[in-house]
Formats: sequence, C-alpha cells, structure tokens
Amino acid sequence: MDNDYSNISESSGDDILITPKIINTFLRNHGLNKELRAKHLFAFGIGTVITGFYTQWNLGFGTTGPFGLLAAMLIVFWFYLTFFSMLVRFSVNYPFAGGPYAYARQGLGSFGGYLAGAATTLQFVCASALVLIIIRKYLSLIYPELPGDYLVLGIFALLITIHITSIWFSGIAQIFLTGTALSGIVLFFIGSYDTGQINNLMKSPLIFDGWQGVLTALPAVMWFYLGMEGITMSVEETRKPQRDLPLSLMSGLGTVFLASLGVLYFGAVSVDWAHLKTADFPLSYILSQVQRQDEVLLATFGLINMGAFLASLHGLINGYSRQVYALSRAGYLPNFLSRMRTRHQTPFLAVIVPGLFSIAIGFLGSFQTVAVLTLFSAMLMYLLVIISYLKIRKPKPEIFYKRSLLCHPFILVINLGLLVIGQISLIYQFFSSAWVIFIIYSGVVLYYYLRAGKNIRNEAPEENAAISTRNKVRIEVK
Amino acid sequence: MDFDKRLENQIEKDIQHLRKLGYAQELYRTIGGFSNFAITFSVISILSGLMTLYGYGLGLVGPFSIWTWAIVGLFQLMVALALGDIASIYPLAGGVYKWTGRLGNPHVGWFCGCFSLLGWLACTAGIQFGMGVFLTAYLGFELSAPNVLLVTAIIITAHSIINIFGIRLVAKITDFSVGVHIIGAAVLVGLLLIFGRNNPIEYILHVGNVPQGMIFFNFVQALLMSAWTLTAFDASTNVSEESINPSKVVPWGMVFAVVCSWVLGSLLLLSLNLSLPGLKETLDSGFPAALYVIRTALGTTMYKFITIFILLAQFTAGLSSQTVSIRIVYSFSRDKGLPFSHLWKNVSSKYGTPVYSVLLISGAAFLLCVIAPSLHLITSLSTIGLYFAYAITMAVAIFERRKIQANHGPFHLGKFRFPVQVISLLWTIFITFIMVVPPVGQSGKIFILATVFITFYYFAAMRKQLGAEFKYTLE
Repeated sequence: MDNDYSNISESSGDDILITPKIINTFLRNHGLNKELRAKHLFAFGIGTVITGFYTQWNLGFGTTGPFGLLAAMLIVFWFYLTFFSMLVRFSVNYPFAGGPYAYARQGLGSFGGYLAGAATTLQFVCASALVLIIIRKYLSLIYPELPGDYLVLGIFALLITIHITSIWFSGIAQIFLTGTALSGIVLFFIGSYDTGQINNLMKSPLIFDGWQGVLTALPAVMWFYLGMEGITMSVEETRKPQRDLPLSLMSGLGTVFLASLGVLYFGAVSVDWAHLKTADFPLSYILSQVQRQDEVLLATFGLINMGAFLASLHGLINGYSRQVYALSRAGYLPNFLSRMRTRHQTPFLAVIVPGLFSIAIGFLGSFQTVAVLTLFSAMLMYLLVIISYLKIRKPKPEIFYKRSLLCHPFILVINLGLLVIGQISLIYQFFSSAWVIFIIYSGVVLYYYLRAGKNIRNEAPEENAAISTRNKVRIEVK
Repeated sequence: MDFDKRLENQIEKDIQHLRKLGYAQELYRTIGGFSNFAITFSVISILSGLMTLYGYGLGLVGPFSIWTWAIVGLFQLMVALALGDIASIYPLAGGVYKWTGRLGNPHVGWFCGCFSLLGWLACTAGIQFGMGVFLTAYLGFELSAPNVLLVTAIIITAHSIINIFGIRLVAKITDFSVGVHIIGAAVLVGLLLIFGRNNPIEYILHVGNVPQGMIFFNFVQALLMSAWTLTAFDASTNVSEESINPSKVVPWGMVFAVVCSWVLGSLLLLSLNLSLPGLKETLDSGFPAALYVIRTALGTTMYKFITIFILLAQFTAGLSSQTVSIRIVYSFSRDKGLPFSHLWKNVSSKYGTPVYSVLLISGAAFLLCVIAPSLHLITSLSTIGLYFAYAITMAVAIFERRKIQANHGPFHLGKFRFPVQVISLLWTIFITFIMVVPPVGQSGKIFILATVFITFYYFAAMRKQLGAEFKYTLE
C-alpha cells in the first residue's frame, strides 16, 4: 500500500486547496460499491472479447493464410502481453475507475487524459454498437422468423437493467454468460476434434502476401483481445484490487491466447480454410459442415453463440459506463452522468445515455465505419497510455519498481511503432471511413477547449492523484 | 458503510454466542449464506448421486423409480427442518456429534459421531467410486474392476492433494460447484426435454418386467437411489464456526439445499425417463445407464460435452465430501474420541492442514472401494451410517425437547417441532432398517461389524474418558 496515493501523506507545497476532508466527502458521494472479486473481473475480461472467437477473426485467412494468421496472432499476443504488464503496474498504483484516462492523465496532463478517456469511451460505445450489428445479422441468418430488431433492443434493455441493478448482480450474470460462451468454445473443440484432417490445411497455400499480409491480418486478430483492458476500470469496485486485478488480467490474457490457438487450429484443419475466410460466423459454419446431421449440437451451439454475444455486450456496457462515469466525475463530461442510485451505488445515467448512442450507431452506422472507428480509438488510447508510462517512469521509479523486461522502454517503443503502423495501415485500408475519424476527433478536441477543459474538478481521485504527483504532495485519506 | 457496520456487529454477536457455548473463536468468520447453501448443495450433488445410481433404480422398478425421489424428498425435508432447529441452537463445528453430546450426554454423542463418520467416509468413497466408473467409461476403457479401481485411486489422490496443499482452493471449488450443478442440470434437462424425448409422460408409471408381487419389495430397495443422494445435508454445520450469523444461515442453507436439490433432481429424473430409448436396451448396454440415455438421446458430441459437467460435479462433490469427513475426524480426535487421536489432530505447520487425517480418510475410502467394489454396497453403507446418526439425533432431540424449546434459536419449528421430529425419527429408522436387513441391506454385515467394533472400543477406552472429560450443558 505504500504506493497508493489515496493513503499516504507528505507535503512540500503550500498551494494545496484539496484537503482530506474534501476528498472524503467527494468519495462518499461518488464512491462505487466494492463487490467484485477476481472471478467477476475474469468473467468481465473474457466475456468482453469472446465475440471475437465467434466472428471476424477468420477474415485474417483471406489476407495471409493460416501460417500468416498464426504469425499475426503471436505478434498481437506479444503486444497485449507487454501492454497488460504495464496496465497492471498502472492499475495497482492508480486504482481509479477512469482507467486509461487516469493513466494518461499522469503523464500527459489534462488534455492527454481527456483524449485517452474519450478514445476509450468511443472504443467501448462503438464496440457495443458493433456487437448489436452482429446480433442483428446473426438473428436474421439463424432465426429469420424472429423479430430480430425488437429482440436486439429487448436484450440490450435487459442487460442495461441488470447492470443498473447492482454491480454484484451484474458480476454474477457475467460469470454465467461468460461460462456459457466459454463452454461453447469447448463444444466447438469436441465437435470438430474427430473430424479434423491435416489435408484440409494443405489444400491452399499456407501463407501468402508475406509480411504485408501478416500486417493486414492484425486488425482481424485484435478482435480476440480488444476491450479486455476494460476491467481496469472496475478497480474501484474490486475488493482486493492489488491482488485481483493483475490476477484476472493476466489469467484472462493466457486463456484467450490458448483458446485462440485452439480455434485457429481446429478452424484450419476441419474444413478447407479458403472457404472459411468468407464465413460470417466461422465456428457455426465449421460445425454445420462437419456435423451437419447432428441437429441437437447445431441447435445448442446456435443458442450458445447468442450467449457469447450477450457476454460481450454486457462487458462492453461495464467498460463504457465506468469511463463515462469517471470523466463526468472529474468534470470533463456533464455532471449528471455521474449521478448514482442511492441504494446500490451504480452510475445509472452513465450506463443508459451512452447505451442510447450505441443503439443509434448500431442501427444507423455501417459495420465497416464503426469497426474502423473502434480500432482507431483503441489504438489511440494504447498509444497515449504507453507514452504516459514512458514519461512518468523516470520521475516515479518507486511506483514502477519492477525492472520487468516486458515493460522495458525499448519494447514499449517497438509497440508504439507497431501502433503507428497499425493506425496508418487502418486508414490506408479503409480510407473511405477516415473522414468519420477526422470529424469525430475534431469534435472531441473542440469540446475540450469549449467546455471540458474549463470544468475540471480537482477533487476527483484521478485528478487529485495527478496534481499530487506534479506538486510532490501526498494526501492522506481515511 | 452501514452494511459493514452491521456485519461487524453480527460477527461480534456470533463470537459472544460461541463463547457462551464454551469455545473461543479460532477460525475466521467469512462464510455467508450463499456459501453455506453451496456447501450442502454440492455435497448432496444430484449430478453425482442420481446419475450414479440411476441404473440401480431403473433395474429394480424401471422409470417408476422416480417416485422414490418424491417420497425421499418429502421426508428428508422434514429431517432437514428438524436438524435445522437444533443447528440454530448449537452453531458448532462437528455437527450431529456435538449436538447429541450437548443435548443428551457425551456417551450418546460419541456413538452418534462414530456412525456419522462411518456414513461420511462411505459417502466420500461412494462419490469417488461412482466418478471412477463414469470416468472409466468416458475415457473409453473397459469397465473392469482393476480399471475402475485405478481411476478411483487417481481421483482420491487428486482430492487428497487439494485437501493437503490447497485448502483455500476447496472453498473456491465449492462455490464453483454450485454453478456446475445448476448449469449442468439445467442444460441437461433442457436438452433432453427438447430434443431427446422418446416416451409419453405416463411412462413414469411403468415398472418394467417386475412381477406384480415384487413391485413393493423392489420399490423399497430402489429407495437407496434417492436416499443416498438426498442426504449429508449436515455438511454446512461443520463450517458453523466460520459462518456469519450461523444460527440463521446454517439451517436455512440446509433447507434451501434440500428443496433446490429436490426440484432439480425431479426434473433430471423426469427428463432421463422421458428420453429412455428402451428399458432392456439401456440395462443391457454395459454402460452406466444415465450416460447411455444421454448418448442415445443427444448424440455423441453432446454426450461428450454434457458428461464434462457431470464429471466436474462428481469431482467437486467428492472433494467437498472428503473435506467434511476430514473435519469430522479432526474435530473428533481433538476431543480424543478416536484411537491414535494425537496423530489425526496433528495440523501440519507447513500447510496448515491435518495431513494425517487426510491420509486416514483417503486410505479408508480406497480400502472400502477395494473390499466392496460395488457401488450400491458402498452407498448403502453410507446411507446406513448417516441415517442412523440422524435417528440417534432425532431420538435425543425428542427426549430433550424441553431443552430445545427453552433455548430455541432464530430458526425454530415452534408448535410443529414435535410432529416433525417424530416423523423424522420414524423415517430415519425405517431407512436404516431396510438398508441393514437382507436382502436389501447387503452391507448389513459390514455395518454390524463396525457397530461391534465401535461398542468394543467404547467399553475398552472411551467410557471412562467420556464421563470424566465431557461436561457441558447449554445453561
């Protein structure tokens, strides 16, 4: 706990206006209930990204082939391994709901923090919209007789209600949904285990288009991990954040990596993978090819597939709501968004209002544009957090005391390079969608200078920690 | 903040209550209502008990065996209520052994504890052996005695390793077990009812080819299937000293666990019976009956998938059962109630667990599997031990009902206490009787041998000691 800013005292400045009493009063009015444990965080982390197993990853086959896809998977895993190692250090030293906003705020000032927070919000809101689009498509394909759009709205309303009810209930629901989704992956392995043939792998070239193909496949593979970092935003609701957050983040990463290797292997050997690259829902497609006579299996898998989408949606709601709540609590977004329910302390308006944006985007936006905005926002946030880390690493050696190879500046600079290449590659590939990125981020910057930057509340824990760092002040909070 | 304050106050009250009962608070009170329910629910374990003995019931009275579950459920609910009434007064680790000792006298408490321990030991062995049979079949090995015993030995070793080296893991696995049971049972029931239905609802009245005069006799034998599954709900009483507000959460945990298991078990048996491909075909398949029904009704892939849940449920139930048995041995030997008590109560300073107690329970469970390599022999021995311990408890409770009335806890039966206790006593005596008397009670000989040994040991070593050392009254 000696690294915890909220618990220590040492002052060298006379210009402090934020007293412990003010902070305590602020936290009493804006504190979240501490109900989550490692199992809930693990479920939120895996659940958020599980949709990536059931759709999208197979697009990488089309750009580079199975071996190229494997190379892309290893690169992305390495990136996330190093990034999460850094996040772990950040999250235990700055245990605030703001997550990436809080981390970027430390090294890049209020604008950098705000930009990282806005990018995180856009990433999670747009990802929710993407999942809504995917569910609509899935329902129209698998259950065409059902009123898909109404069902999607009903599901979203139900998940929002669960989330508002209490974080404990939300955590239990997420364990159930993620458990269902993971059991679907196991069912897929069992269903394709006996039918796989290595000949299928050899039917088409194993790798093509060289490194360019591998780089083009990176965005497809990113869907396996994109959004898992959202659990750092639940840190204020975690009972033992110092232990549970690193445990759930790293175990979640390992689980996703192993499961993704399994999905790639069984996907490549079960059918001619050249046909797989165009499938909307690859796992369902494979099972329908290799077990076409097993109606029970296909029907069950169809339902489990829906469970996976719900797990992701629920995890994404958790992500955007905590980020919006933190930004509002710190004054960047309107104050009403951080209002809480009196009984269970859930930020209900931070759950509902961005959710309405997700629905609007999900029903009005095109899949490609929303996907590009999501990926761009995620990479921008990663970029800002890494730069912030590099900036504060030297002045605060006691915080990042572990001389870990994974967080070595050289590795992080390589990651920065990868992210910049990724951003350029994304815009180059989907140039027609770049205007959306430009317009939205122009709006984000403009909003900062017109409103957000003028209403910052220094008593918010993220801001307070950053000010304390700058002024070398430590404030004790009981 | 208010919640934390209330919690602290409650824990303080619990510590005071324990002090009144003559014990100091040595363990951390961290277990809440859900975990209490979880412990009992996962030991009852419909996915291991019912699935394991489904073929046994089917062989005796066909799909009509489902009605044993209805009858046993009703009476076991009475027993759970009656035991809950006492658990609310004595929130102590040790369960029935401590209750009867305090309500009656230490001598009867010791006898009750011995039979309870015998029942728990056989219960653990039964779950482990049942899983051994299922896992052997699942892995595709021949269901021969050496194969099953080898697999069972591996399972017992795995449980023992967790109980020695990872006691913290046990609590986590128990919570996980509830999820496995509920999700596993719900998925299985749902799939069987939607996709596997082969028979009309009237099929549950079908008794197979049993001659008319034998139906009642066979039905009584088939009670074992349900009686063994829906028992051991005193598991959560063993964690009373680690529970928050145990006078309330322990009895309610038992009652809820019995009701939930009763409901889920009924649905499970119903779905299995309605999906039965053919009685003779199933019984002659040479495969565990429940697994055969699932494989035939849902196809090979879904069978492989669902059986993972069943095996997980069996593993966690076996682990919970072994943990409870170890706690009983530890608690018993702490009061010098067993031969070589100094050995069993020894807690390893390195791992913080009673290593010798773990080895004793593991060794005894395996030995039982070797000398009685038949599932219904082990399970009937377990049923006898547990039900006889309940019967002793009920008899003492009826005899000392004024004491209960004067000191009742927050969970009490009020004016229904006496009838519920009498029904429970008659029921537990009936089950013990049919399990002991041949030909139903094939393990009667082992039971009688154990009773002779217990009585001999009592007169040889315990009688004087119990009279001298155990002096406790509620007042």
